[in-house]
Amino acid sequence: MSKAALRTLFIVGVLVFSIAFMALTMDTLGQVPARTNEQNLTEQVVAGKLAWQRHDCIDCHTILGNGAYYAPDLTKVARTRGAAFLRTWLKNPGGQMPNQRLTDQEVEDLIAFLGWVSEIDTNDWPPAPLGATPLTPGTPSPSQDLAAQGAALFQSKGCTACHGRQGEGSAIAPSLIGVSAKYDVDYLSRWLKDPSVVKPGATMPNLGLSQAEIEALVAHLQTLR
Amino acid sequence: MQTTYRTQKVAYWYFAVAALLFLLQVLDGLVIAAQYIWPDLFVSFFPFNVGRTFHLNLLVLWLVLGFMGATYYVVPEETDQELFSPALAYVQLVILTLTGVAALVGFVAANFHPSLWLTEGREYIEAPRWADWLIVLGVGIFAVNNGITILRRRRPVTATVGILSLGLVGLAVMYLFGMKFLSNVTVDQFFWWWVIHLWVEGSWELIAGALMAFLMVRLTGVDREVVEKWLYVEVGLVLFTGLVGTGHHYYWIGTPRYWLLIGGLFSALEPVPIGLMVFDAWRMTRHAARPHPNRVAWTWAVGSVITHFLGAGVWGFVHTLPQINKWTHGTQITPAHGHFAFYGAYATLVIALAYFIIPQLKEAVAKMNPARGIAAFWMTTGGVVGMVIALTVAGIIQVYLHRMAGLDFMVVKTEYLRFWFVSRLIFGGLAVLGVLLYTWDFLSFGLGTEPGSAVPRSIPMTTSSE
Repeated sequence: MSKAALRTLFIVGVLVFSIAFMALTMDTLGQVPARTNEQNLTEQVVAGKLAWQRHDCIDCHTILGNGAYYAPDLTKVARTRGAAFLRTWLKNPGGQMPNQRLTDQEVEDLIAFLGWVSEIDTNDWPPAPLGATPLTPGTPSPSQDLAAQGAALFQSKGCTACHGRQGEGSAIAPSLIGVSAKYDVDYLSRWLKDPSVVKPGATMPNLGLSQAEIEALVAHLQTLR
Repeated sequence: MQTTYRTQKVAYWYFAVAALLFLLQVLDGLVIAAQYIWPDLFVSFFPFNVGRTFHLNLLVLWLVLGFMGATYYVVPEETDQELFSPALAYVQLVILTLTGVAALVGFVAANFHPSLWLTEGREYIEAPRWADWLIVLGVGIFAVNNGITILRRRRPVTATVGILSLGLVGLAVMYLFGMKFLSNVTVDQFFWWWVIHLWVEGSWELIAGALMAFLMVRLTGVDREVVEKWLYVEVGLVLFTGLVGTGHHYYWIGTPRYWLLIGGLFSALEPVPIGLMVFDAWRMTRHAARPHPNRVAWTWAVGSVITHFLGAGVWGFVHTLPQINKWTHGTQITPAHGHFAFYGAYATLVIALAYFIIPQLKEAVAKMNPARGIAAFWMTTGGVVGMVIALTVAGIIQVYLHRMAGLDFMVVKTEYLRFWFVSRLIFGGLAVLGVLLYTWDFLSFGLGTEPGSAVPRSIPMTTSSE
């Protein structure tokens, strides 16, 4: 082929694929309002997005999987952790996160923003861990005893975020070492079911645990000595 | 072999600033790599998010300045005349450099006084609005300066200049899509990718393709007609696959499910043109009319072709299919690919161009000491490859333990990935030594051998077995 013919092919090809990409863009932008529940995109959610940008959260965390890989993805955090946990955490973060000195208003705005983000239809991303199957209520894996299941839940339910990796406690939550000597199984179970019922105003959020999960976690707590 | 046009000399200062910013970028990289291991390091005044913002913005700035310097060298030569205005070129360089430095200072200040006037909080394009407009001004001057030069040309515009111009216009236009505040985070990320993806897998590939074609013609003496024919084929395929291939970023951000099919299909083809470039370079090497005396530029150019293919082609392909990306998206696999691809496609090319252009400007090709530049290549490349392997292994472990087994993100990061982050830091140190060697070589070379000066050359270093 001559150079002139290749140039023509280049120009025509680029135009064709640009037009195809524009058509797909138009269609996508038409579908996004429904897929992201734009009717729920309130002023507070927008204020939360501005706070998200102002504090440059994306250069540690990912959201919708994009951002930095230094800290956890926050796409579904409002669902998995809940507003109560987020409120406690954002005001006084633990682990490796520096305190962002957020105002109460910013905290509420960010919770609204993360809540709205968690409802976006992401084509089922992030995928549920494969290991979640044997831990669902009523289907205990025969290969794992109850305390080992509880240990896995202790990691996956985010208990480590406040109570430390081994349950040793942190600035915002007490140590759990020896907790089973202080409280009996019944008390621990009621506490895990809903902390604020046992102790009104408790900082610890309701994690929405099933009965099977509570039993496994209590079994794990009994091993922390 | 010497420089034909006086005004081509503006390229020198572009490459000089780019070299210093590159050094700053990798030194900053050491800090944030260390923070992965010791999170309390500098956390009160230079936390990870500020360091990472530095790392990304310095990357973009030094590469773009490198492209611009190369363009100021290529355009006079390809259009047979002096540049329209060297003064404007220097004004532009000062505007862009000062804007960049001011933005960096702002990122540090934003840590103490969070404000959208200091950071926009969107990765790669954190620069606030006022900086955006200054960047637009700088790029506008660049476009006008080269545009007028090209319009006043004495012969038909070459394919090299045509593709280069198209790429540079694309670079400027795509930046505009990142400037508007969008309240819906899905729409925000949709157009954010128009900047990021349509830069690195679109307009930047055009720029790089054209500059590589220029370099290959000069270094191998292969017939320009043949090289430019291949250029049309390669950049054509880059755009045919890459435009719709943007879809591999639209799997999980709230965009429709059909992107899984379309994005997967087109992005799976993206390695094809990059593979062709490797074949093309190999063919040109075999048909080289004469061996070029500038072995350093040649080493970096061939290294660029190969690492471009591995980093962008292979490392991109392995996680581009939606069935795999579902598990790898947002893990350390992404920065493994990101580091390798940016280094292979762009960093090595800009350095190859610097090593070709600066000795030409200084009329000192015959006096070059190749040992240092070639040692710098192997140290930097060895360091980057080591980092990429460490991050890849970290990513695979993260996929299994965090995504598949459901262990907490922070537990996996602190308990299971530590060894690989330490490895990354060590190889990062090797890369920094390579970049230091390059910077030193660049500065000593540029300062030591002014055209016509009788400064005696230093005794060749023996830092390499080459």
